Formats: sequence, C-alpha cells, structure tokens
Amino acid sequence: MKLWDIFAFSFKNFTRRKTRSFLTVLGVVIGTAAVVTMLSIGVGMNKGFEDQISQWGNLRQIEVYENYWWGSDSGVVGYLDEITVEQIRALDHVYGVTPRVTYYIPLVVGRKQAYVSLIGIDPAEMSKFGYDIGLGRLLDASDKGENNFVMSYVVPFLISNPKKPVYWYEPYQGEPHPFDPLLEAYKITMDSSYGQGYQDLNRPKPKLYKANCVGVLAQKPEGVWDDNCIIMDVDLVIKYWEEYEKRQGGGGGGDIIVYEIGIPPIKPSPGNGNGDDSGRKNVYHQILVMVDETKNVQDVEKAIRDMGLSTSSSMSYLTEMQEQTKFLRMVLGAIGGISFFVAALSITNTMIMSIYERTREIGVMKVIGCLVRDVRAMFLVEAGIIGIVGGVVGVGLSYGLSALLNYIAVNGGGGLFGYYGSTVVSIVPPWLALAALVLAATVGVVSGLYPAIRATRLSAIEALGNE
Amino acid sequence: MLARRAIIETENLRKVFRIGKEKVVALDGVTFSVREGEICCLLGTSGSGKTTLLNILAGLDKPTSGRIMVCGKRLDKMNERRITLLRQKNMGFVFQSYNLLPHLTALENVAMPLTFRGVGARKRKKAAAEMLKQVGLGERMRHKPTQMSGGQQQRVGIARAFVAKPRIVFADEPTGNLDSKTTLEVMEMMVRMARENNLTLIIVTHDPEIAAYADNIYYMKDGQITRVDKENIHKTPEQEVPLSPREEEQSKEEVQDNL
Ligand SMILES: Nc1ncnc2c1ncn2[C@@H]1O[C@H](COP(=O)(O)OP(=O)(O)O)[C@@H](O)[C@H]1O
Ligand SMILES: [Mg+2]
Repeated sequence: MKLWDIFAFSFKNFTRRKTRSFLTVLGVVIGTAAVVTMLSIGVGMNKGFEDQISQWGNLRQIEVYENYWWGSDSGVVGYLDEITVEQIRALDHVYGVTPRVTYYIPLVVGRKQAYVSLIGIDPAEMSKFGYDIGLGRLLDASDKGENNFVMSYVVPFLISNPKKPVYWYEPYQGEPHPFDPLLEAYKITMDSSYGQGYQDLNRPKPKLYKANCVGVLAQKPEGVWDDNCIIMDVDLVIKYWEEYEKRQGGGGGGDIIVYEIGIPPIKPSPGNGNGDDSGRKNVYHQILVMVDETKNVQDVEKAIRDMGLSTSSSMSYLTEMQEQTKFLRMVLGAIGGISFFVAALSITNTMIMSIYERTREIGVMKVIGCLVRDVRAMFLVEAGIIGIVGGVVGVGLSYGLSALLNYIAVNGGGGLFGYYGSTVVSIVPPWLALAALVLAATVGVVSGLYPAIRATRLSAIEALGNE
Repeated sequence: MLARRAIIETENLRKVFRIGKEKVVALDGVTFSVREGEICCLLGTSGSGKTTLLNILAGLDKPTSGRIMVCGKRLDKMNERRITLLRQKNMGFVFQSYNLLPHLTALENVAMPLTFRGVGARKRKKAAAEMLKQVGLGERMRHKPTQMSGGQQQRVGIARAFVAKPRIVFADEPTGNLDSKTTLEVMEMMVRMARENNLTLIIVTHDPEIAAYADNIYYMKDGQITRVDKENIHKTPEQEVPLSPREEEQSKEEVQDNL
C-alpha cells in the first residue's frame, strides 16, 4: 500500500467518530499545554534570574579577591600580584585577565570637579571585558604607562562646583554631554579632600596629575546602574598612590570603595599588606577574569580558589539560584507530565475501542489483500494524527496561556508571579514548542502501538465469522 | 475447457476444530480440483463444512492435514505475508453480508483491493468507475453503502471482487441476504463477468437453484465432498440430493417429531 493511502485511510478513520476523536485530541491538547506551560514558567524563572544577574555584571566574568580565611582548603595562600595574574592567564578557558585597583578620587576640570572611582586595569586587556565604547576608543596596549583614561557616560554630568557638588545624576537616554568630554583638559589627584575649601596645613599640598580622556563608554540602558568612574593603566594608578602615600608620610588612607555585593569590604592593602616569607604581597585590590564561555565559569573559579584566593561571579549566583528552584521546576514539569500520561492512556483507550468497533472491517481488509504491515501502519498513523493534532493545538494554546500569564504578571499580579522584579513569568522558547510537538506525536504513536498490534493479531475469519 | 489445467487442487484435506475437549471434524478428507475458468458450486446444508473449505482454499485458514495447491503454490506451506500477497494478486471475494466499509463511497470501496496493491489514485479510480458501470451503478459512485439497497450493495461487492482482475473469485453465500429477484440479477451478473474475464468462480450456497449456473457442482456433507451431475441434481438418490432450504426446514421438523 502507498504511504499516502495509509495516511488517507487513517485520516478518514480519524474524522469518522468526530466526538470521540475530538475528546481524545482534547486530552492531548490539555496534556501538551500543561507540559509546555509548566515548563515555560521554569524557563521564565531562569530567564528572570539571568536578566537580573547579568545586569549586575557580565556572566562570563569572575572577580578574584584575597582569601580572608587564609588560603584554600589545602592551606595555600594566594596573592593578588603579577605572578597570580600570569598563573590565571595560563588556565584553560581564560579569555582575559586584568588586575584592578579602585580609589575614590576627585577628577578636576578647571575649578570644577567630580568624585569618581579611579579604576586601574591592564589597558591591553580592556577590549576583552565587554566595555561598550560610545565616544573615542577603549584603552589598549599603547596606553601602558600613559595618562590616558576612559570615562563612564555619566561623569561629565557630575563635574560641578565643589561648593554645590552633584553626587548623583541620571541622564535620560541620549542626553548630550554638557561639553565635549574628549576635548576637555583633566587633572586627577589622589587626595580625596581636594577642593573641600579648607586645607589641612599639616599635610602636604595635594598633587595634581594631568590626565587625558581618550574615550567615553556608551550609555547604559534605562534602569541599569551606571558607575561613575574613570579607567586607566593600573601601574600608573599604583604609582600615583604610592607617591601620595609617601608624601603623606606612610599611613593615611585614600578612600576606597568596594560595591560588590556579598563580598566583605576590602582593606586597602596594595603596597603594604600581608607580606610573608616569599616576599610576595597583594599588589592589586582584585583580579578580574573573563572566561571564554559561561559554562566554564565554575571550573575556572574552582581553579582560582585552589590557588588560595576568593572568587565571586554572577554565574555562580545564577547557578545557585537555579539550583534552588530546580525542585520547583521539577514539580511543575511533573504536573504537566502527568496530564500527558493521562492523555496517552486515553489515546490507547480510544484506539482499542475503535478496534472493537472495526473488527469486521479489519477482517474484510485482510481478506481482500491488505498486508498486516499496512493494517498496523494505519492504526499507528491514526494514533500519530491524534498526537500531532493535539500537539499543534496544545502548543498554540500554551502560547496563549503564556501570554495570559505574562499579562497578569504585568497588570497587577506582579507581586504574585514576578521573580526578583522581573515581570516575564512564562517563556515558550522554540525548542520547547518543537520538543512538545515531537513528544505529542511520539506519545500518540507509542499509545497506538498496543492497539495496532492487537489489530494485526485479529484473525480475519474470526472477524468475519459471525456472518 | 476440459484441457485447461487445474488452478485449485486439494488432496485429503482435514480440518479439525477443538472446542474445549470436543473435536469437530469440519473437513474429512476433501480431495477435489477446479480448473481455470470453471464456475464451480459448493452445495450443502448449514454446518457441512463449505465455509471452512473456502477459507482454506483462500489461504485464510490452514488445514489440519492434507495438501493444497492454488495458482501453482503450496498454500499450506506459505507464510501469512506471502499468502496475503497471493490473495492480493489472484483472488477476489464476494460476501453474504457485502462487507463494504461504511465510511467509504462505492467508488472507494471498489478501489480498495487496488489501493492495497499500491495502485495509484487516478488509475484505480478509473478502474473502479469502469467496474461500477459494468454492474450498473455508474450513477451511484459517490454513495455510501448505507444509502444503497442490499442488491446494490452486493453489486458494489461484486465490482470490488472483480476490479483487480483476479484469477479466482470466491463467493460465500453471495445471495443469502437477497430476495429471489435480486438473487437472479446478482448471480447472472457474477457468472457473466466470470465468463467475460475467463476467471474461476467458486460459489458456496445451500440453494440448489443457484447450482444451475455452475459448470461443476459439488455436494458437501459432514465434511466430505462429492461431485454431483448437473442433470441429476433433482433426481439422484436421497443421500446425494441436496434439499432446498424449505425441504431442509421440513426435514428438521420431521426429525423433531420423531423424537
Ligand atoms: N472456528 C471454528 N471453531 C469451531 N468449530 C468451527 C469453526 N468453524 C466452523 N466450525 C464447525 O465446523 C463445521 C463446518 O462449519 P462451516 O464450514 O461454517 O459450515 P457451512 O459453511 O457449510 O455452514 C460446523 O460444525 C461448525 O460448527
Ligand atoms: Mg457457511
């Protein structure tokens, strides 16, 4: 028999008992929609976490700190110095590494100034750390030892009269800078009290360094925190800081800020902290690592911790959050799975019933030359049709349900459904829709297997026997 | 016609059914043959083994013992798949209760054997339409079986049996559900089509009237088969004379009376 004719026969039988076929298909529709909707909530949940966390930082990035509990499990103590940077660079899956120091300092433009974070990094690595440039250029290897810097978009708005300082400003999207940041002449000082109006006469006069802006980072999207910072060569920043400390006579503290979440505040230690017999010490505040792919982040973190350092990454938060909700997602999936199973039973039931009804027809077909193979195929295809039709409608329905859930979440139900401020609760990715269709068709065919075998076992003469 | 070779040959066929401990001998040493192009009639009372023999000849059932050749093939030695293919190519069937598929149109029903053979839609529709015209149902191709009378349904059944140009057509009590006028029409149609296409027709019946259409008549009783002379059908000694249904009823009553 031609395949097409088998389909035609199956389809005719499918449309013959309209009510029953409809109800069986409805079972599959509900099963499919249940699975897809439940899983879509799981996907939405994960996406919510991901969106949230990737706002805090790049998912491929690891921040490396000194280990406050003295070393790793094996007792090794790691230091934030060039040796460690090179060791990390040598690890597998490491895409970029840079040391980092951060000081909170005044950025001076004529008589105006702004308090900004002065961040020192390895200029050669800047392009690997996901900075979006808006104006000018990023730092590169040629900026080593140079007083060139890149500033964040918000900085020019903060440059103000120190008597009426602007500490916070949120430019609207695309708001033009009050002046051309690339053309302005800047100075920086490591003395955070500069420009406060009074001068501590016991302390030396603050030293100002010329600095040159070569680039401005792109504006962050609406609602995403934008750091006010300037970024330059880490060695130069450390040099400035050492000069400042020397002039201050040793002690003295520049204000340094650390705003990473969940990490104990770092004491400023470069240049004077934690030396041991090896003569090594913490030269940097942190080391930043960019991993090649998110899936390798945890491995790289582990390797760095084994070097006696602490790490933190957005990815590890994400994994932890996803781990915590895994059970919930499994429960959701199981609820959907059960309805699918019930649907499968109803397909089997329907097919067995129709075989009872069609016993005689099956007998006739066999007598007049229908191969057992074709009889079996007819029933499998019919069950498959039920599965596919149910699957298609079910997936359609789940798109509707998904939209409805998201609508409810946005309009009033947000507190009930939203995760960590995200309003999207349900996402049906294409792979889920496709997997559901394949599953529905497979479940259909599998459910039809037993009835199909029964149909083939049926003896033709017995089927006709009650003549 | 006598020179033709046998298309069906059986040798000492036995068929024993077991129902629990009880054995029913349905066929008890049936040896006979049918030549190609012959119209052959199996007469006999209800329960004499006619259907059982037909089923075995068509490869729908296996004999308990004995040999059977159909179209040059040893049916008793073949597997189900090959027998089905043999049936597909060489045999047509007419049933007492028509056995049309109720959700298919007359045309689709007639085309069914060709569908099973894998003949393309256009070709089989043409053949089926031609067949329906031959049985006088050219105007009712799109009708469903439920919209037709018994006689019309059986004519669809005949068209279906002949459409694939088989070598043998089996008809088990083809007129059993029809009135005498329709019986005549249907019989004449079958015989005419068998003759025109020069194919072998095996008709099972308990109606001696029908036997008149046959070249050869066999009489079955208690699983045994005897050839009957056409001329003697109403004259032969009692044990060889098949009773007409009415006579059969009467004899049954007599038996009961005697008890
Ligand atoms: N499947 C079966 N199981 C048991 N006995 C059967 C079966 N088929 C036929 N028989 C018995 O075999 C005998 C012959 O039956 P059958 O060939 O149908 O007779 P006929 O067609 O001449 O009326 C009967 O006694 C019947 O009861
Ligand atoms: Mg019978």
